[in-house]
Amino acid sequence: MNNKTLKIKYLLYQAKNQKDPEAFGKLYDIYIDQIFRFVRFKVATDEEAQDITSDVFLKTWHYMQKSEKKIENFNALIYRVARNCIVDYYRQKTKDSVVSSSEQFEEIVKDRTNLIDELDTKIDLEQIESKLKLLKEEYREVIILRYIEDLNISEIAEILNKTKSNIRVLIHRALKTLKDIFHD
Amino acid sequence: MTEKDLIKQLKSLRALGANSDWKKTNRSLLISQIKGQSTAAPASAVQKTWYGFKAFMPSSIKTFVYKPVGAITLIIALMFGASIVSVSASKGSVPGDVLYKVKLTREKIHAGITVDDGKKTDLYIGFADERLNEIDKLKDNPKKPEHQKENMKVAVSELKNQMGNVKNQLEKVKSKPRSAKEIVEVAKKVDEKVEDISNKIEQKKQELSGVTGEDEVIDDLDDAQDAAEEASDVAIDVIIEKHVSGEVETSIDELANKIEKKIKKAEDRIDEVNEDVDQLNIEKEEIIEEPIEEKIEEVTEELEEEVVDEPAVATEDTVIEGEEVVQEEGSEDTIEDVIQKPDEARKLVDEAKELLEQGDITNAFEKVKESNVITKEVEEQIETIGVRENTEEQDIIPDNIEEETTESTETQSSESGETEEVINESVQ
Repeated sequence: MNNKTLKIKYLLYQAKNQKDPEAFGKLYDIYIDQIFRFVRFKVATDEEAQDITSDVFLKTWHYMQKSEKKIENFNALIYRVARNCIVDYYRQKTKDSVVSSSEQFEEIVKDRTNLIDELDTKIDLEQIESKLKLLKEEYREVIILRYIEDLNISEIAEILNKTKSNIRVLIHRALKTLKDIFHD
Repeated sequence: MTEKDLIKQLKSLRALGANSDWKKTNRSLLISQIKGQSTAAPASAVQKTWYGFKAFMPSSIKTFVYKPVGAITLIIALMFGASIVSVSASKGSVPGDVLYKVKLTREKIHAGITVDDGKKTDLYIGFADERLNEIDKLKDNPKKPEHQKENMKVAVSELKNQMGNVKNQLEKVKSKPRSAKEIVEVAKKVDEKVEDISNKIEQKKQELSGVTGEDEVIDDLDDAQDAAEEASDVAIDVIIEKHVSGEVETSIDELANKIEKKIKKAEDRIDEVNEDVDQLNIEKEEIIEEPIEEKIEEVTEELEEEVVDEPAVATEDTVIEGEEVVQEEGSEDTIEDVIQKPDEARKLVDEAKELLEQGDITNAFEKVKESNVITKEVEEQIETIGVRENTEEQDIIPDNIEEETTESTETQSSESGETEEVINESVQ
């Protein structure tokens, strides 16, 4: 168990069993960027991502307080909540809002470009991100979780409610497809 | 593009994150929302410990602990009809208890995962306080009197470690890029708490003094108290440094009060050392006044008394006695050296007082620290001399007895008159 995992376990224990909001605040500090990023890849704007991300943390806290079950993996829990929040969000939105039209896609890339400029990174993030958007949802999700969010196969399987073998196959196919997109 | 390059590029997307202002605002909002909704009663201490254990321990360790704990619980329940809940958690354990190591490990984990250096310092102080409670528990209610001393020594040793941790942590706080105000706040808190701990240690020393067999524990408490004073010195150094540099102003009265307390402690310590030194002085005078011939006669008499029952003395004893005399001459120089040191320490304390009166806080405190270094040296030297003398005293007689035993087969048949001659010859 590395230091980060141990810290998360401790904070989780404090937040769940001692109902300590400050401990949950520290979990927020650890996860906020990655959850925001995860959500942001699935919605059109930063504002939408912010709203959903806020909801994710609040729902996670409620779940922790209500659930009698022991939380084995906070990583898996919070991504699962995030995924559900995104699904709920799209359920409520009209079809026009779903990130599918090329118009909105351009908007996302433009929006993200500003963010990228701020980050002053040499790598062409815009390019990789735009290619990523061309993947089908299922593939994009596993790629994000595995390589951007650095989750392990078991965690991804738990979040997506699939077997580990399924996830391995999905990652393999997703990577291959993404490679093909780059070569085109 | 290879798969490796592709993954590398994907990983580069990790650099994307949320806007920092939004993160802050949203965090405050979230905390206020959940605070407003959190109405459930907090878990009890036993529940907390149990959940903590379940949350942290890997399953292999849990199984390892569950089995014996389960078995022991069952036996206890069967024997005494006690409920399972009554199995006490590690929190209240003391050295010698099975769960004591679990308690220490839990503390280490807690400190290990605490990132904030100020909070970590608080934790170490809290752990030190807990050690003091354990010493009290052991003293007032010894579960295993036969292991009482070693258990007390464990608690005192851990107390000393915690004081070392506090000092190191404060050094870290000092060196990190924090605001001077925050650093001084931590230092003041450390100084205040550590002073309290040092006073408690002093109280424990007094309670234990006179209790047979507790001398070693008192010596260890001395070491722990030294460690506490060192931590307090670092804290005061920090406060003075920031005051002098103009970064954080502390009232002159407050600083003077701290240094006066230190001066008082230094003086008390010198007084204590002086008592030991006076004792050494008396012993030294006795050594000088007593001619070597008299000493030899005295030793001879001692040997005669011993040899009456076991009549055997080897000529090697002469050599041993010769060495004794030489060693005593060497001790004389050391004693002379030690006797003068408390005066040096006293002089430094007087200088510190003068400097403090002139308002030179920095140098006044430096003088107090220098004085403490000298006093500590004297304490150590007295201890060394004490240990050596004790060893020598023990050595003289038992060694002779041993040698007598080895030679006894040859001389057992000797008459007592012959033995006396042998003694006189060998001593001369």
